[in-house]
Formats: sequence, structure tokens, C-alpha cells
Amino acid sequence: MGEEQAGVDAVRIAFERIRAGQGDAFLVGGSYNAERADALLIYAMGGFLRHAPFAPVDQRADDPGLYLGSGGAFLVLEARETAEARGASILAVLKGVDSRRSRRVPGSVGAALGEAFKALPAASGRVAVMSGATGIAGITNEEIAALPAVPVRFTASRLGHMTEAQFPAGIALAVESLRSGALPAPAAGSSETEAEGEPEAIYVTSVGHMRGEGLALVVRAH
Amino acid sequence: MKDAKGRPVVVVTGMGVVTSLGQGKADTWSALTAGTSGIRQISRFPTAGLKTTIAGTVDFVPAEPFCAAQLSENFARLAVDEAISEAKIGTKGAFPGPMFIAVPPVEMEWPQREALARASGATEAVTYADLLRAADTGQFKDWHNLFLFGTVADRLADEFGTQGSPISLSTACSSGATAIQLGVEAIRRGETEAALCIGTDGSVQAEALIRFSLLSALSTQNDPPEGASKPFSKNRDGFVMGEGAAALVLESYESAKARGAQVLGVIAGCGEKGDGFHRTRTSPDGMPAILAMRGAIEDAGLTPDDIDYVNAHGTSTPENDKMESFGCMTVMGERMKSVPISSNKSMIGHTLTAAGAVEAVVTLLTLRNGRIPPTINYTIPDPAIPLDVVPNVARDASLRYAMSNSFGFGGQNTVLVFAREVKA
Repeated sequence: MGEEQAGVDAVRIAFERIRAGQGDAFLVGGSYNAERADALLIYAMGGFLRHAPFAPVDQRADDPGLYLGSGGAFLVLEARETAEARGASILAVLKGVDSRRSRRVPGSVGAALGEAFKALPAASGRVAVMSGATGIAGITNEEIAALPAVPVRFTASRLGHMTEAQFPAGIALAVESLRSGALPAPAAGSSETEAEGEPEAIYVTSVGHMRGEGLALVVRAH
Repeated sequence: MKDAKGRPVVVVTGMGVVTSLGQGKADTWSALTAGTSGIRQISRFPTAGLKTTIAGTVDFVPAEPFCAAQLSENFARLAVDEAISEAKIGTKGAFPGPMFIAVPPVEMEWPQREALARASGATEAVTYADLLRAADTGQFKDWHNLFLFGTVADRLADEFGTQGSPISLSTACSSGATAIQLGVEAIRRGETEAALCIGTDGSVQAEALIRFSLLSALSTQNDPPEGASKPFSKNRDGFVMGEGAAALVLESYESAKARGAQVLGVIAGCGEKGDGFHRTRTSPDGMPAILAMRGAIEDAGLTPDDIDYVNAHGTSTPENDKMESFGCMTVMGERMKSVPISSNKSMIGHTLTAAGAVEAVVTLLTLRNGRIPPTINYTIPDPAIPLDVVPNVARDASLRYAMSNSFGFGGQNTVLVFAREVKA
């Protein structure tokens, strides 16, 4: 799919191709240039933009919507064997990627994410969530309600909404959190809570503004 | 049944196509083998002052609003309908597998911008601030979805009931072949037993034409329109934009056999190779295209000597045809001089995003019918291209294996190898 789900599908297909031996290494990601009036125009027509001053993703009840963000995020995914054989340092391990499409009605996003969590391997230890929520009414609340009771970080509160790049960026931030042993500090004025100890497993979510739901699980390398 | 590499054999059980030559395989095939051109004067927007005024437009499919995104969706729908009807797979509105669809980049076009400008009430020089003010009223809400890349796939997924997240993709002029490759790989890794692979393109609109024109990529020999696309000829001077769509139902041979489906052909191999040389130009040594061809032949468990026919990318640009000829000669050796190679684009133009899928359908029909569509407008041979291009007239031939090339701007090369029958 295009937009957010393109980022999810790209990661999923690269992951599955590696698992099936259809390739050893993939460069996968997305990038988006928001600083174009045309980009704003498309989202303005749909009524998806927040006009009020900045607020974190989870604090936009007064004027739900997204701020577009520019950025790019790319990952080198590699079969563990080939990475080890060439002496590469393994930053984290991608355990699974789930990509799905629900016909959007109230409740469908929450249900789709619920199914996605069941479809992936269970996370253990100190778990966190790197959420790609947009801030759009309804679907953002559904996502928050579907998340496990663990520390959450909303990437769009920091980066804006980078459409195709949001999910790869979420994975990159999850990897860096695992590698460095700390999540980003809670965003000011948000519901994000301090995390205790080093994270061991991080779910990355994507709920497209129009369509598509994605979930990945990344765990510590060692 | 497994292939030589122990993977499920992937067969085609349904095909649909729309081109400037007609709707459906029967019309397109009879026109292609008659050497008929679908290239004509553009009538959908004014062309006065433009260097190129012709295209292989599909003018018999309506679209509302009339724009590339809607047109591409409508072409795809017709092709998918034909493919699924032929495959007799699943139940109505429930296709038992995922969708991979090559769609052109979509964008707001002038009629929509003008509508926003009118709605803004601005009378002097219109600015984006005016357009944004009009957009914020909510009266253009439907156009948000219309101009998202993923919308064609989303709507088709709703209508035909494909499974999972539909994959929209663009690898420029190899997109249609990439859609097929992704379907083949999904079946090979056991993710699904069936896949719906589509390429569609209805991009003949003013801005797209002008952009290709600015790249000096288009033929300017507008008169007569049907003579403009001259792949492999010495006097070739660029490609002609075309429109159309094709859809293929892919299945594992086991699944097709189990349900008694008719097997229309085999997708035996896929090869891909990126070319980082330049945004639009190909590597001077042709290696990425050569490696894509070799990769596809090797993936099919064949050798170059097995290839009986090449369905050329054959755009009619000076560079592509020379590079493609050189690449084929390198891969196949001297034998290539007697291997028939023809370009469907001589008749339907370059259907861009759809080309790889449209030409896959034509290649499968070529194998199945034992008849090779010609390269038309071949009157002045290019001495640098010593190939049998099946000039001007269709030819009967018994063929086992065929290769279809797709080489995209941006260095995206995808090659598919087809077999007429499943090897027992």
C-alpha cells in the first residue's frame, strides 16, 4: 500500500524474503519531504491536519490531527548468519513484522492491532512500545487502548508524521533504544512515563491515517 | 510439484488486459498480431505548441473525475475482472491471496487545482494560501483519498476481496514486472497459494507528457502517429506514451491442479538488478541489464540457449534499444542474431508502470498461441542492432521459453522468464 503502510510492507517483505532465503541483506526504509505546499494541500483536503499550536500526539483532543514531518529512515536488515560471518555488529533482532488492512469502522483499528499482537511472538522482559500514532481522532485513541501497559513513546510527538518513513523510523528508534539501553526521555506534557531499567523488547506500531495497520517486534541483540 | 530449486512451480491461470488496441485479450491479441498501432493524436487535452502530440491513449474507458489516478483504477478493474473470470478462482469478491499492484505516481492535476482556486474566491494571482483555505473547507474531502498512492489498491482490495495488506509499488518502467516478481516470490516462500498481480497506468495527462518531453525521451515524429514508435530502427527518436493495464492470477501449480484450473503458462524465473549509474541513463557497460537477464534465466533453471524468444523492453529510444541489443547479445552470444525479439511498444506505446504486466500477458499469449507479434515501423534497420526483430509481420513459431525485459528509469531492471508448459 502507499503512505504509512508502504513503510510497513517494505519492512515485512524484506524480513520475509530474508527468512525464506530469497536474499541475505536488504536496505529498506522510506523518506518523505513534508516541506511542500502540495503535501500540505493533500492532507488539508482530507481534514487531517492539526491547526492548533504544538501538542504531543496523545494530547490533541482540542484539535485532533497530524503535523507532517520531513525525514528519512533506512535499515540494513541482514540474515543473522551472513551478518555474523562478515563480523558485523548486530544492533538488534527483528522478531516479526505484521501488516494488515482493516476496513475502517469504529473499533477496527483496535481489533486489527489486537490481532497483530497475537500474530507476533510474545515479548518478554522489560517491554516498551514505539508508537507511530498520528494524533488523528478516533484511531489514535483506539491504538492507545490496544497497547500493552508498558512505557510508550510516540514518534510523531518528536518527528512529526513522516508517512512512508514513520514505521522504519520507529524501528530505528527502537533499535537505538535497545542498543543504548534507554528509551527517549518522556515528551514534555505527554502521558509518556519513565521506564525502569534497560528495555529488552520493543513493539513498533503503525496506524495509517486512512488505512493499514502494522506492528513489529524488535529485541536486544544479546 | 517443485521446480529445479525445490520451490513451488508458479503458473498463470487467469489474465486480463486493456490497451489502446482494445479491452480484453482477444481484441488486443488480434490487433497486435495484425501489426495494428494504437497510437493516435491526443484528444483529451490541447496539444498546440507541444513537441509531442501523440500517445497510445485508452479513450474508451470513462473516469470521473477524469485524472490519471481514477483512470488507472478503472483500467485495473477491467483487467482484474477478466483475469479472475478466466481463472475461476475464489468466490465473487473473495480472492484467496494477496494483491501486488504497480500504480503510477499520483498527483493533483490542473483541473483539481483550478477547482480549488475557484472555490477560494481569489481573483488575482492565486497562491497556495488560497488553495489551502479552499482545502480546509472540507468540500474536497474525496480528493484526499483519490490522490494517495495507496488508494487504487485499497479500492480494488475492497472490491475483489484480496487477502492482507495490498502492495502498491512503483519501480518506474519495470513496475509491472516487479509486481509479478513479488507475487512469484510470495508463492515460492509458501506465504500463499495464489496472488493477484497487476500493472496499470493511465498517465497521459498534460504535465506527465511535458515532463517526459523535457527529458527528451519522447518521439516527436507526430505524423503519422502510428509510425512514431520504431523500436530498433535506425530512425527511432524516442518512446511514445501508452496507457493500459494487465492483471495475472498466479497460483502454485499444485493449487491450480487440485482445483482443475487451466494452466495458461509458467513464470519460471525472475531476475532483478539495480543500476546506480544515473537517474535516467543506463550503465554504459550494460551490466545491470545483463545481470538481470542472466539472473532470470538462472532462476528459471535454464541456460541462455533455452530462450526461444525475447519480448523486448524495446522502447524506441536511441539509448534503450542499443543497450538492450548489446545486453541480449552479451547474454546469448552469436545465437542472439537468430533468436526472434520483438517490441509490443511499436504498437501500443510504452505503457510505463503497466508495461511489465501488459507485456507479460502478451508474452504468455505468444508462447501459448505459437505466434510472435511483430515490431512494426521497421523500415530502416540500425546496423548497430544485428537482431531478428520480427519486422512488421507476425510470425508463427513453436516456442518453449520466452524472456520479457523491463528496464526502468532510475536503474530498475526486472526480467521475467516464462515457460509454455509445466515441465513434467
